[in-house]
Amino acid sequence: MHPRISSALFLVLCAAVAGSAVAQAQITIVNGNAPGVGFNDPTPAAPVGGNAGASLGEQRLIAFQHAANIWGSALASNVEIQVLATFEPLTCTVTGAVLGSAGTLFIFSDFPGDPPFPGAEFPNTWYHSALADKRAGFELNPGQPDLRARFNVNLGAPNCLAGVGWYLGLDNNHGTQIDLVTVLLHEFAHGLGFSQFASVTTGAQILDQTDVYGRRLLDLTTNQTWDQMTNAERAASAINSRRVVWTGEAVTHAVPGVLSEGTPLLRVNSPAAIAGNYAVGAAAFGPPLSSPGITGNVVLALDPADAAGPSTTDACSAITNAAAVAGRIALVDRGTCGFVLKVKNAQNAGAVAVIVADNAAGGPPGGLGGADPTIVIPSVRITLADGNLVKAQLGSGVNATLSVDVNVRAGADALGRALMNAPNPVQPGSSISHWDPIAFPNQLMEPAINADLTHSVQAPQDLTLAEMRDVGWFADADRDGVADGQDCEANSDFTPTVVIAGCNSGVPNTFFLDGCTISDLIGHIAEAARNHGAFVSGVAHLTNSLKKQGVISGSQKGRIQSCAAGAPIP
Amino acid sequence: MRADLRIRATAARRVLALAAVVACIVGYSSAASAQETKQTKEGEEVKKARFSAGQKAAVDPQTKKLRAPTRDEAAALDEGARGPAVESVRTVQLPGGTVMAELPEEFMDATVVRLNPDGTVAATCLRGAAAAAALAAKPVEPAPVLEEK
Repeated sequence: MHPRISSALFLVLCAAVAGSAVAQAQITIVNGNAPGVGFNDPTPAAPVGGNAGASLGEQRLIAFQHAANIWGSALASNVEIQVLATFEPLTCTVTGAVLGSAGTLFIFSDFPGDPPFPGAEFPNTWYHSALADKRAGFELNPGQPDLRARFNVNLGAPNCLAGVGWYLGLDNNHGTQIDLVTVLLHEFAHGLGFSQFASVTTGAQILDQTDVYGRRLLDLTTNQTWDQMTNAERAASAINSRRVVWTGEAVTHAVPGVLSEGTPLLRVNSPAAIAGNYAVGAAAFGPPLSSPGITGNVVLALDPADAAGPSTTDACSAITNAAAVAGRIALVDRGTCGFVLKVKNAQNAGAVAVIVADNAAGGPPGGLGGADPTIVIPSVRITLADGNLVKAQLGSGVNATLSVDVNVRAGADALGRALMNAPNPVQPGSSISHWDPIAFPNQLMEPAINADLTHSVQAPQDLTLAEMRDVGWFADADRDGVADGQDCEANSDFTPTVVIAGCNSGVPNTFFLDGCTISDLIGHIAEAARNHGAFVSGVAHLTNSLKKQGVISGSQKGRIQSCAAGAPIP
Repeated sequence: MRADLRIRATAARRVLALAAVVACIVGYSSAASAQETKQTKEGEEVKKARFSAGQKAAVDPQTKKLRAPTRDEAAALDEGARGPAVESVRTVQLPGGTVMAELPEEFMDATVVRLNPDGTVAATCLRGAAAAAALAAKPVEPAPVLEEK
């Protein structure tokens, strides 16, 4: 049984010390290639971008390990993470190629922790293999790798995106080539904890169990997290564009430091029934939305149902209710004629701005294309569903603001929670398991891997590490299983025996479940002692307590006290 | 000493190795690409291409040419479009209450890169080998433009 000491007894000694050590998880790339190919390709290679490998295969492996090390330095685990990796032929054409794939090979639920390791935070909840091992404190599936990675060995060959090959440098100076390290950082993140396992088309879950990622997904329409939903509700949430957010505290805390201020929005001010923010697509013509923007009552613009447009709300002809539209925000329907003409007709009627309601289901709303330098009022597109909501309330009066809302970050909702990618129609490959592409600056875990990404996985550049924290990768500088925020000592002294200023007592340096060793406790006493007498007295008090609780014997107590007495502390 | 004090957990059992799955099934789409626009506070715009799934085709393993998919190939493509089937995932009950699931290749996240008409490349992440292969083999379309009506 693990020895325990009363937390209260040593509370004064256990002041948290900020960890300066770099968190570390050992991520090992397991070379799965046969001799002579892939990672074992002997083709000589010149050093590139800090990658000094002498052969093509060696450079590939160095780039892989570099990406692994970036994650390894950001995460902490006392269990080695193994990535079985190969370079092999993957689907290729002259104009397209599968760069590579990666993911967790196993997921676990209801696993215990080896105290003080916490085990699973939630019951009946799936965790990625590496994350589960970290929280268990031991390897749950010995002998098996945690992640699998396959990358395209032919990239850049004449029949495989000819001329656009891997950049194997480590400095992100990839030019027009594809930066292998960036792609690896993205795919490794999926395998380490940035993905969910329910079907986004049916909502079905493996063994009907949620996953730790899904527990952080909140649908703003139903106000439910994904673990609280039925399959049908999850499937509906997966296409609820701009209304699925990440609720984890670490990401929400990081958002203000990472995402830029300002999101183009339609804010309905009244009536209360539909008040709130609605996503908009920007127009390529007319002035862009600004801050504080334009506020006004929304009026449905009417025009004749004629050859120009069969609907009385398509604004394809001159507006007939100009008196009502003048000085207000015109609402028109998409269809038949171009966006430019609709906006121009509304402008001619005196509208101060235009909202085009889509005529086809889907989301997020697309932009408004076209060009006309004579258009001087802003315009936006909203979804069919949102358009119907607004129309249904026009009878009671709708007041709205079209603006770039500086209080809403690009890629977050009004409360500062990161938006998830939830396009309608669903994209099984990328829905939900990525940030919304509206995020700015570009984020590592958007569905598109953009060329301007840095190699950083954390704030102030990126939100990915914060997401990892939210799914359970708690910071643990000394990897003792106690999260840094709760750890009695974030950088514990794990010397096998208690040593005080070079005096080895020979007493086993017992580790306690609150994250401190005996040496840590003595260190805390030394830090607090105003003079040598106080230090010796504090150590005596500690060792008496340890003996009383049976942690050490009487002779061991004496040896520690003797070392303390002879130590030049302070 | 620390290790001696710790509770040692029962080791989990090994499970079957993964089986390789998909080969030579590809798809293409004639659907128009959509485009998304980002607008920052300063009005800066960042445009991104977004693709959607569409018509199916297969590459003949002998001739390497596109042809209509067989029924089995079409089914595989449909599976790629739907995403992985969670019902088929094998699970194992381990000692101590732990449950382990072995994820098939369809759960892997893949990155596909496509060459734009202007010579730039666009990389997109999606789930599953079949879906990735389908997108990679999709013929290049004209540069995406913003819908004008």
